[in-house]
Amino acid sequence: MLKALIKKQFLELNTFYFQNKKTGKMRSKAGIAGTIILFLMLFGMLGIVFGGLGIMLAGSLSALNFDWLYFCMMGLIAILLGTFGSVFNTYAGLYHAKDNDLLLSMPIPPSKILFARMTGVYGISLLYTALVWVPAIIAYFFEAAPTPLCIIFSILQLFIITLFVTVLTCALGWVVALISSKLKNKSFVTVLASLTFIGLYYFVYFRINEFLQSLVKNADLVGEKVKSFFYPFYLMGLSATGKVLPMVIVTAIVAALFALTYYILSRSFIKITTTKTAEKKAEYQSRQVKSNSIGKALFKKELARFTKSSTYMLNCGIGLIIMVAFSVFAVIKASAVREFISEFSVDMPELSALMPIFAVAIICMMISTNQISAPSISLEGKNIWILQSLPIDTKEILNAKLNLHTVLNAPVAALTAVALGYVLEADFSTIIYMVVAVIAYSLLTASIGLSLNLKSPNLDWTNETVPVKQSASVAIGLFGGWAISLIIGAVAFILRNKFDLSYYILACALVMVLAARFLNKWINTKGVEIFKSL
Amino acid sequence: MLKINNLTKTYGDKKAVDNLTLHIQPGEIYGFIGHNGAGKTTTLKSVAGILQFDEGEIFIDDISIKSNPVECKKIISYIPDNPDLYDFMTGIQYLNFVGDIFGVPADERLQRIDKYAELFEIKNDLAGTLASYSHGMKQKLAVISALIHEPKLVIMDEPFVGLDPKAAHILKGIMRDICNNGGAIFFSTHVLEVAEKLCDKVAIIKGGKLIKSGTMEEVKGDESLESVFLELEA
Repeated sequence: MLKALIKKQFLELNTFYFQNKKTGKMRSKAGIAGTIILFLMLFGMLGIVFGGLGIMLAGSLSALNFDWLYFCMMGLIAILLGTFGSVFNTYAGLYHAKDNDLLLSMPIPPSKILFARMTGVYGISLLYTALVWVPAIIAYFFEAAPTPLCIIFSILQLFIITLFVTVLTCALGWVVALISSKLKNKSFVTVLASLTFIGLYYFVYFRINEFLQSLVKNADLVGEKVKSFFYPFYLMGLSATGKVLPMVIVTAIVAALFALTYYILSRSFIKITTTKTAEKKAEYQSRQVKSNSIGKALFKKELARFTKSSTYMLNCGIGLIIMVAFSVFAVIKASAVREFISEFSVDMPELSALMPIFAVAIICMMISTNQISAPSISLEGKNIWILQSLPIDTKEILNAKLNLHTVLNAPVAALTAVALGYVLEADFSTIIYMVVAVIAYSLLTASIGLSLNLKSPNLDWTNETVPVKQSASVAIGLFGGWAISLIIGAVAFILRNKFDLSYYILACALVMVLAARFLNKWINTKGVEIFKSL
Repeated sequence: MLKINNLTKTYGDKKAVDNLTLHIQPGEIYGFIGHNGAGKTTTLKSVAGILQFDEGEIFIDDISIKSNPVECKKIISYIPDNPDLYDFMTGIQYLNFVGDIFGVPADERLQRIDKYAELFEIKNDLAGTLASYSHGMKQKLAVISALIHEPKLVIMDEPFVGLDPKAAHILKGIMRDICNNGGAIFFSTHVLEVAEKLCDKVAIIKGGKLIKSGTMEEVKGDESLESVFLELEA
């Protein structure tokens, strides 16, 4: 019975990666090969990153006789990646799987269902943990002199660390679900948490070299601290070097933790699975509200669509945050930026004249990451009947989508242009030209995104990540936008000695406005017909 | 109230609706029956201005849905078989959105929302997001949103599916009230008993073609609607 359950669990994982979500059929051989190649490439890239990190650390720490500290550090990174990689899927996977009713109606002890699902969690955790641990031990084998026992134990450690990750994810998954059920503005909190995570990632990324140097330099001190405060992790590192007793102790501790977690979860499994969290119901107060015009009502609807979806906001609005952060950073570091430019201008005096154009190109690039209009038709999905059955001119529906894109992008882009103009000490008229150009680009990207989505709509989806993350309109809008931004900068650079570039920004703005106007005309004629026929 | 003249709608090579003609007078509840895939939903969606059709004409209160869809939609409302509503809105936000689109004055809107929400017993749920609504609650909200502007013609696709018996009973009463006030109802159903009891007239569609229509007596005579329907479908 347990074997059948575990087999089903892994079959589920297998179909997740190798089944076409649209048709429900297994992917073609070429499709499966493509998926495997994509995963291998991803693993290869991450392997190079963690392998590189291992090479930097292994030799130095081994030379200092701190081999255990190397395995301890890499083990901690593997635990972190493994835990954060699988924690967000664990709760749903353990307790709210789609086959709950089916399995619970069968003569299967709930503890066996839980065990089979925990093996699924183990499988996913193994993938993430291996991403760090496998390159780490390979790097160690190359850089140090491992004993045969070290080779065996370090390989075995992969499975023990994964077991520990499974324990952590099962416990943390429960906490994540608890917090999530209490949150009011889930989409904003998710966006904030994701941005914090990205910020932390870049902080660590830029400081990693400094940290590694300090680790090698102060290996004695760090080693002592780990021994004093994190003794089990010291044992974990020691066991991977080939020490038998620590290996036995670590294995016993992790196995005991897993058994305890399994015991606790299996006792509450039925209760958690069958109980729905009682959410506090909002009380409706009957009161008269102000009426809105059709245009305003449609705009508010589009805004609600955007702000109530963390997926939409994160994937199609992150450029707004980047622009604000970039402006603040540039203004704070204004003198450093000016100094940097003046150093370059010694060899290339025309560079200072080109800087406002480059600034516009950079802002355009950031605007391009905000593909708000590009999935907006597809996002109507099964709700499209509402707009189609209401007495609204289709042009108004499409204009509301364009307006949301422009209203969110243009003011932030204009402020960024003013901030960069100030940093570059551009004159007043140049700053005005920069503002006009970025507003024009906001209008253009709104029209490009909507036109692309009208040409390739996808209303048949069950998860909104499909229109937001996997649509042609978003991808073409994003990369096409970057290409336009690069062309703006590149053309100015090429023409720098041939023409007076004083009005180049204004000329770009004019071209963008004309292009946007042309696309809007298409949207209001052909686009309207396409929308009606959806 | 509603004139469908020679309606034809094709999907690829297949004619979903084939030269269908049907007229509905004010005060009539008109039932539309047929097996799955007979062309009921296509006809209803064409009347509601959701689907563009290939041939024929549809007039609502003598206004063509083809040439003046917005004016037509102002006096009709449509309730689909599966009420997919905006999950990111609360119930009251959705009703206000529809009220804004139809330009219903704030005081009238409030009065109607309160009246129908109390009738369907979902007033306390209006502050909740639609994602948390059950199928039946969504269906009730779709009905309320369809009544918010006092339409002259209500087009419904399987309106009783998902409704509890009490809500279904209330809806039948509302349908009769609309017709008593000079409006009309055009709805599809698989429940022949409901059609037999509720409808003034009935139309049977098969393979996209209208095979029988008229008053209930004209269509079924002394037999039950079920036996007539099964005979015609055979």
